[in-house]
Amino acid sequence: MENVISYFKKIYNTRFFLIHLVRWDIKFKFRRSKLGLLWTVLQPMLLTAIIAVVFGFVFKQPIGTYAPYILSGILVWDVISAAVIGNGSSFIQAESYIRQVSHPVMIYPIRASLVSIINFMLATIGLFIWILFVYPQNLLTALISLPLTAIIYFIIAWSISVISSHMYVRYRDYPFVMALVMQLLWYLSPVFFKEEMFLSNPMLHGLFILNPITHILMLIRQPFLYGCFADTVSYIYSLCIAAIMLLLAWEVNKRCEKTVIYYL
Amino acid sequence: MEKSSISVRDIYLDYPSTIYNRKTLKQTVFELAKLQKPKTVLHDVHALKGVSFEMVEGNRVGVIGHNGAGKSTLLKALAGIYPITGGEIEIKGQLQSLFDLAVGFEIDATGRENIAYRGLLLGESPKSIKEKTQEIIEFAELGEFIDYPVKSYSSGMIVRLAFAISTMIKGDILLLDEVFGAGDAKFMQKAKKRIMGLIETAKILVFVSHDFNAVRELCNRAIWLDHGEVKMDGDVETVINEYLKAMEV
Repeated sequence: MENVISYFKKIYNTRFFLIHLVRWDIKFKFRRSKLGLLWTVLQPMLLTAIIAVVFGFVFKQPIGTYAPYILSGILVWDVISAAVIGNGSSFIQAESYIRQVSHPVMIYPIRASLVSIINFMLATIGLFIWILFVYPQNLLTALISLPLTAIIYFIIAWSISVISSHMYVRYRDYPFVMALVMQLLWYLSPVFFKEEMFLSNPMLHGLFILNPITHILMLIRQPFLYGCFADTVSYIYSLCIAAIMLLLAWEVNKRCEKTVIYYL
Repeated sequence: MEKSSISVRDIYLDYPSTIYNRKTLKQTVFELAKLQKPKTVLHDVHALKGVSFEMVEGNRVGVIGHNGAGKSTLLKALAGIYPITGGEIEIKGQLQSLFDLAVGFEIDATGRENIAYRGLLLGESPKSIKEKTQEIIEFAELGEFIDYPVKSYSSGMIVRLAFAISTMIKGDILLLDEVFGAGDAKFMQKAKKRIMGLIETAKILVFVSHDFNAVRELCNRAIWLDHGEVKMDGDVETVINEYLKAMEV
């Protein structure tokens, strides 16, 4: 326990540096593109438009309510896939810092996940605008539920990012392999499939209920689309996932932190 | 205030062979499944083998030895960058390390932004950096270029800026690697003066060098490392003379 506290103290001591890194990442992201902030909101909305039109037609779903369902799925999916693939490069990106100063390496995945959570929050603007037209009565619940949801997402994203960073630094083909795995997971998760599409097959429906991503998605979908907080089951499920991932990340980091420098 | 000290007890440092025998995820999985023959393996490199010493306030230690004797490794182990595989390092006091100066700039950020960046990296607070920024800009002699992105800098300018920032922050224990040619001759003079100032205020100096004159000038104790072991530890003249004698044979 003492180790944990002193480690977090070390992380806290780097806060100014960490905040600076995050601010720089956000600023740089917007500096690079002409559309800037607008792009963060637009990109998932355009992707949603494509999927909504295609699958709305295939599954015969009304676009008005199906689109926010997909959009909320995509926003969360972006956070998860960034944690598994993109954030894996956080040690490699921080190579020059790791070579110079012995800060706890877990701060670099924090940097990456904070950026993706901030990105997520900004992108929810699009979702808010959409439900303003289709479910204006859900706005308040959606707004109140968002901070806790974002915190849970952050813990999950950070934990996964720590593990993926350690994997990537050791195995440089990691992102290519994981891109395939994530593609598979994308089709197994209710990012754009709805629950009623699984009802015909009990086994598929069982897998749907067990899939952690289903519950992680509920945290945002219930308030935004149905105007109520997610079920306790979904909260407990998501918190358990967060706790397990965090413990796992901690163990992996304990074993691998010291030798990261050798793989850079 | 607590006195600064460095206590190194019987430390070992091996560069694990896994770095040279890098594997991909595919190889690892295929080898486990016995579908592919394992690659031939290289062995661990033993960079430090049972090094021990004590340093107290007032020690200015020059570390000498041939290439690959473990000098820079020792410095990086003291700085906590390389993990030791055995033994114990106990350090009291704030460390300040001057090596690898020119790495770690954000080339898309301006010089001014990089001052903040590196200052924060080295553990300064935003407030203290603000106070020091003007002094750093003046020392680095960058003029209007300070508001240009670092990618537009010449290599000399980068080194000057890095040097100005890193030497602006003071510590109790100064770890110094000789390898920094800082800009042109005129700047070298200035840099030398700045280093001397730092050495004077530092409570302990650990200086890695091949330049015996510099060691004679700056240090009052020398450690001779040979193949990762302490061959000799003592008075500067004695150690250097013994070292030179051994080299002649």
